[in-house]
Amino acid sequence: MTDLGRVTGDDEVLHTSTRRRRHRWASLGGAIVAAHVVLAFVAPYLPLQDVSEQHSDAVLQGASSAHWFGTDNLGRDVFARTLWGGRPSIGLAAASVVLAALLGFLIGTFAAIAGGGVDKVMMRVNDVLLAVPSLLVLLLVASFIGREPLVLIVTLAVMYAPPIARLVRTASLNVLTRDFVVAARLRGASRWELVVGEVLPNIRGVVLTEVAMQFTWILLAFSSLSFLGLGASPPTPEWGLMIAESRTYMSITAWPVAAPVVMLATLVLGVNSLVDRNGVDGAT
Amino acid sequence: MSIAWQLLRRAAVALLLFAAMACLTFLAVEALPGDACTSLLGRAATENKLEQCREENGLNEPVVARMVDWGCGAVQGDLGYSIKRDAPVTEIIAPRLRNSLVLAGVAGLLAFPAAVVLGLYSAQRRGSRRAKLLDTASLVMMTLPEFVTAAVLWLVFSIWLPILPAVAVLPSDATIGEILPTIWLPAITLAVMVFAHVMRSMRSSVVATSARPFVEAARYRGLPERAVLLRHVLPAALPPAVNVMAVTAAWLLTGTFVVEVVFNFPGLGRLAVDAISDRDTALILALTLFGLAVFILSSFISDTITRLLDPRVRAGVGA
Amino acid sequence: MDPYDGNRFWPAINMVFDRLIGVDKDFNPIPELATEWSSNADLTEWTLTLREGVKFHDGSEFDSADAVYSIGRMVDPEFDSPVRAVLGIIESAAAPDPQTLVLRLSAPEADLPLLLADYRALMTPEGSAETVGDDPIGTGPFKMEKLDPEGTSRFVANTDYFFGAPKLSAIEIPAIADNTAATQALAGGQVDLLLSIDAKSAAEFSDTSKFTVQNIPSGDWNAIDFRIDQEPFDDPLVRKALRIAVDRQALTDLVLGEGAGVPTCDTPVWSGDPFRWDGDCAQDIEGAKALLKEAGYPDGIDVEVFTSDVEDNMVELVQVYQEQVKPAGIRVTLTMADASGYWDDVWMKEPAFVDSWGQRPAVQVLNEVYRSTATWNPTGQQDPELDAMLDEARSIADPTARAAKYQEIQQYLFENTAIFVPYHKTLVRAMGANVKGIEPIVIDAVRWEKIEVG
Repeated sequence: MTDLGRVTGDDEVLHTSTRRRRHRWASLGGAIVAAHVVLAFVAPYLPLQDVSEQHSDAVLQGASSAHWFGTDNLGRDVFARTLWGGRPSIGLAAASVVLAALLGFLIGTFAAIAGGGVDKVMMRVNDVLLAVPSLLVLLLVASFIGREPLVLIVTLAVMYAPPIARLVRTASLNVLTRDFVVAARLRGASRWELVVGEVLPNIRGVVLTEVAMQFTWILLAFSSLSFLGLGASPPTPEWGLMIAESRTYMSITAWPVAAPVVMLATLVLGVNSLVDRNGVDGAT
Repeated sequence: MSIAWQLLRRAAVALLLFAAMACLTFLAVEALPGDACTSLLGRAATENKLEQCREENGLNEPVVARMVDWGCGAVQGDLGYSIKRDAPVTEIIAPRLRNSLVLAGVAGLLAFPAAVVLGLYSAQRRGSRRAKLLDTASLVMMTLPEFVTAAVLWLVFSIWLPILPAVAVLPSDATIGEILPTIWLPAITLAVMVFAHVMRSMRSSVVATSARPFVEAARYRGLPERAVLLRHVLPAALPPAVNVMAVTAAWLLTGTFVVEVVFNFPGLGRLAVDAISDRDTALILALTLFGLAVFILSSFISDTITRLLDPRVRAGVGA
Repeated sequence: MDPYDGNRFWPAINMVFDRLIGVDKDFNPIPELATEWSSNADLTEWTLTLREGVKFHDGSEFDSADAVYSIGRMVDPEFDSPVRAVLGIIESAAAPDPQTLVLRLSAPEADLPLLLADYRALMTPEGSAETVGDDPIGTGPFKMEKLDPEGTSRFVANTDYFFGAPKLSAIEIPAIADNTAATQALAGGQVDLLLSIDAKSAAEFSDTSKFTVQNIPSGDWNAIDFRIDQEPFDDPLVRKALRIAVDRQALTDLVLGEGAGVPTCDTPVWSGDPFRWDGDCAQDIEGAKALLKEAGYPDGIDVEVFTSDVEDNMVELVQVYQEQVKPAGIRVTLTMADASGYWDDVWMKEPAFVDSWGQRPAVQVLNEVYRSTATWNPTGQQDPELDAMLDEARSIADPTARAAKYQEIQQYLFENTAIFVPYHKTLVRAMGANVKGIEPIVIDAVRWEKIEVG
């Protein structure tokens, strides 16, 4: 799924996002995303139960007034863990996507400006990187090198930069051939002046949309990694890890699986509706 | 430049690219800490035994020599030997490749036709309640992680209404007849994801094409909508969708780790996860290269199909 | 399938091969391929009488030459089998006649029959070293038809089995790596028997008309080991503080599930063993604090414990330990290591790590894990006093006196050891209600030929 999103991201975004309209889907998505982000920040200050406190007399219980979402296999409060559970994934995905965007932007604009052979070679390399199955690489890196956040962030950024680079390049080329840019170039503006002054403002919207999409794929990739036991370390409350830890007991109590699933899904859906150009088109 | 010549040139480039990637992958796998012998001996590893094992399996040769050796073997269809599993890599991979192909095939058959038809439908009827529902549903399907889809399907079809087997309890060399009954849950899980991606790309492609002048022109000429759709919109809208289908097909073959683990399906994905956790370097190398090859091949094929489908290319205008 | 190889296919070796001596459900030695045994007065020479008329799967006769050959491979220092840690005490094996086996030991060992009942001490035909791995010929109730450790292995009945023909015509062992998938397979009737399931998911099989669940107290244990040659674990006070700050009953219930384990006071000897010492080791937060203060850590101590999901319960153990010792000022960091490299890179190397052991009789486990010279002495403890006590214990012929000595050793360990042993596991075995003939005893003692599926 994550690879799929990474690779199928198309240039469609170029044609449509510029005429994107605010729409109730988008505002709903925005509200969900905002809620998630705020929650991630304030969770430690909420009057929640201790996320690591264990109750040996209340293991795998259903919802109750003491534990709103029941307890997990170590008798920990699922409600508190669910609210905390977005912090590692959102933080890590955000850091990775910022780094990926930076990399992608540098590579994309550089290729677009340089043009010719340099451009060709860079895009070839880019395509090759795009062909590498990202989850396989993540598994290998996490298994052999380690699962420290920094290692994962860098790996994710390298794996998810190519689609951004490709988009930035196409968008930049579009901008670079426009009259006002050609004029600026004729005035003798340097390449980097062009990038900062002309290209950047014009492709911002497009790139932000793509970055938001990549954010969701990174989020899911990290959750998959946690699910396979190579992402977040216990006892960290993290959605993917929570699902992995509790899925054996799903037929005894579904809460510890269902709650993080709903959180993960709403966040991803929220980001998608916020930026989704198809949903916008479809409704007009 | 004729199409054939172009294809040949691109094939050569793809092949070179693959060779370069193969070398890089070999070195990368070499650079990973631990080797086949430490993994084989595990808790019983002593200096003495490690040395003996490395000697027996030629791990003491220089890296370059082993890489050349491996490359020469690979060209002749010998992908090396898994010390951990005590079997030639090709022998381990072959039955699982078949299983993964069957799984991908079933998932593809479930997803692709439906995705094309419904994508077209939702584009044509955009704004209607059904189309909106379809859009929202596909968005949900696309964004749910496989382990979630799998869990839901499991609960519904194996626990509440026990009509489908929960997991595959099969050897990798079971006959296809034995595999098919247990393939449904993993196949549906994959199909859900694939369907959503292809449908959405089909849909946006049809929407974009419908707005193009030549389609408008066809409409103004008074052609019936169905004819416009089949003769003008579809041919122009298919290439981008085919692109996505090719990528998805490649993913179905190489990206199914989670689904195969969850359903215990004896395919390449589970093998890869096992190989990584066993540090079976020979197998990891072969599987990584396989993944690369599939992606390079799929982009080559989709490229070719796009070119063949593209009316401008067919007309010999060149691209 | 080589039973002496570290990479043996453990689920099946006991179906294909037999031991000289087995154990009953109370862990007394009982005849298997040997019918009688006795020792000389100073316990250094044992004579076994072998069963007559036993045939290997290929029709050849089992005799003392095969036994000598098998034991030779088990103790061969060159081959260095894991069984050597158990039977290394055997200096030589001789076969005066086809039905008699004489074992000479390098030191007195009163419990040799129990050691010979180790589940890996199996009898293979003479000269089978090269072939046993792929083409195992044993005397056991089932013959291997197909071996596929990552797929489905198949074993068919040996109708000439000396304890009687098996009731099942074949046993298939499918590999299901994922625990959840395995429980689902049983719930859906795709498999008949799971040797061990997570006790917390046993509720799923509570419908007795469909499933039988057996709780089998066992000697399997987990531990957190602290390297004695590294600070701060070189200090016995710190070690003791790290061990007494735990509520073992609560820890057992949380990690394994309620009733799924028997708490233990840092002794590796389990509750079913006649030599077990039952101490009192209630949680003592204040005591732990006092010990830490005395050792020079008035503000508590930071400990990094390595673990991995290489086996069940290992990650949960550290998570629960971490919570329980918090009030004593012991701040535990859990570090996840990769499963594949765990036994090479972490185990016995990092300062503190999780350990896992299978059931072993007192004499074996104490010598295999705690003796200074043991290959797998995970904490690096060098304690001549302990070694002397171990030597003394194994040379005592009288069982009561021997038990007293072994209990003394365990008590000594509780004061000194660097291995925190919180519990022994109670195995939960689940099977379809139609599966009959499996006694609720550990897997080594299950008689595979008696199993039926109705």
